[in-house]
Amino acid sequence: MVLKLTRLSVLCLLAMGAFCVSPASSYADEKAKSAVAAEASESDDATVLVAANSEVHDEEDVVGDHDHPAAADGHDSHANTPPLLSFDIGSAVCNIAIFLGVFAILSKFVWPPILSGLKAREDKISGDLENAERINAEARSLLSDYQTKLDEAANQVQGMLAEARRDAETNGQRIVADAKAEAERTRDRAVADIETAKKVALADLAGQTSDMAMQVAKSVVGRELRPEDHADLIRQSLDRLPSNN
Amino acid sequence: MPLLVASADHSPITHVLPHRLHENPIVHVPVGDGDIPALHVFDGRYEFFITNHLMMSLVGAVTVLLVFAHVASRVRAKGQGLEAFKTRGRVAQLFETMCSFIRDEVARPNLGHLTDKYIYYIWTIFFFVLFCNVIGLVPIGYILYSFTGSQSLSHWGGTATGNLSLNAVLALGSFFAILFIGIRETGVKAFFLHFNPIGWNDPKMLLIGIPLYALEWLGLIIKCVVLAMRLFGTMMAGHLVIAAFVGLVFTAAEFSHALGYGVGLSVIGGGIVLTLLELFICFLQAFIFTFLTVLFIAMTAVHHDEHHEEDHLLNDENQMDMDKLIDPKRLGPLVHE
Repeated sequence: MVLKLTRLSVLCLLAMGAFCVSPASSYADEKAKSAVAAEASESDDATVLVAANSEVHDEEDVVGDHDHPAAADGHDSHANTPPLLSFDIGSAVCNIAIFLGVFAILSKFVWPPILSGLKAREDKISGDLENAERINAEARSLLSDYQTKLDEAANQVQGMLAEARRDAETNGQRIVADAKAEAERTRDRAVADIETAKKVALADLAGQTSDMAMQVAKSVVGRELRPEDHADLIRQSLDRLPSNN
Repeated sequence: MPLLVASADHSPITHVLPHRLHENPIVHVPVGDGDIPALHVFDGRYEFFITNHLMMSLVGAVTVLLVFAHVASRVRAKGQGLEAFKTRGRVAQLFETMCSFIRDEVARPNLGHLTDKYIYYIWTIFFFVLFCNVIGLVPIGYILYSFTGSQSLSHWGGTATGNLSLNAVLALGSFFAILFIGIRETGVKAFFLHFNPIGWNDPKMLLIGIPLYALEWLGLIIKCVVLAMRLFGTMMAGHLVIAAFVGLVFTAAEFSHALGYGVGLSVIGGGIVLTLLELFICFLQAFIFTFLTVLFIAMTAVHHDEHHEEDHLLNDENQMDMDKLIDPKRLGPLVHE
């Protein structure tokens, strides 16, 4: 599309150039031709500002263009120069066409992509800024959440430590109590065993003692004792034994 | 080389007047008797010739089309990611920057939400005037004369906007734009009634209101006429001054060659400075024409009570507070005591 537009523009230029490359002339050339006929008098260049008046200006140009070799044949007979403040209706109509043409072509083919490009960049920048703002807010929110979680975790850790400490103390106390109880039970068992052993030892001792006594008595008395006598003797012997318990 | 050619023209006026580019008129219309030089009517006939100024209007128009066809192809968003939004090429970036400036700094503050609706016309006005102004600085005629030796080509070129025939058209365009956009955005009734600043409710006040109504219309027309005259005056006067300046060389040369060369050297330096000033004026006048057109459109099409400017330390009103010079405390937070 741009290539077509470029070609069209170049063609317009070429057409314009071709149209204008006819034997060109200027107002000055025409004035030079008419100057001879008009026999205008020279005027000083210092009247530049006054020259806005067309009559004065005509006189100046008449002089100024004597140097022009191109007082060409076949030129239009008009030797009139417009003043500075002049308005050419034909040029104005052409200028309207030129301006409207430029406005139409630019509005159709050129300004939309430029405006859309500028808008796209603006949208991109504002979108990125909004995204950055949103992401920043999300990051702050996440940071706050993580901070909360960290605080909670720290509290949990403290709680767990305290609980562990409490459990350890409880366990320690329980272990000590168990140990004490076990020791107590062990001691009781030992005492009971000792008591039992003592009784057994005493019973054995009593038995052996009675036998010995029987033997002694037999040897002394010379007769056999009955079991009832044994028992009486044993009891009497035991009663006579001193008790250490 | 232009200096040599300038010797052919004793009057600087010839440099700013329109010159015919062909011999026979394209159109001639009999309009009665007598001469009306201001309307190009001589001997009771209006004759239409293609002039150098008209040709430069077309050259300016074609240049605008070619340059912005190129710019449009570069600015268009295409591709992937961030690369899609990058404009490549210095020429495209230059004109894109101008487009952005006109849209963001000239149109948007005045037209607000209507900016993109009418930006095509505003861009067209600005760049058409700018190109016509700047191309007018190029001495096309003298360059052609240098290469061809044809005296008739020395008047080719010129500044299209140094001619009322174009400026009047542009100003007329602005006038119709003001009317069209004002009516379109506010309605026919509201548009035509708002020219009376007093209002229509009090019959006694109509004695003042109706003349004011006429005065407002006259003011609008005068504003548009001044648009054309300002552009014409500034563009024409610049060339006139430079031409008069160059003319000094030949006036001096009439006394002696040495004086001519001496003045010539001064004139070359001065001419460069004046041409640079003219280049600045070209941009400035294109901006002023566009800015005022936008301003006049906004006066009729935009309700200014919709948004109030925030009171800011650096706005014009506060910057105009001259008491700040003698009382620095009035600068407020800008001064750290």
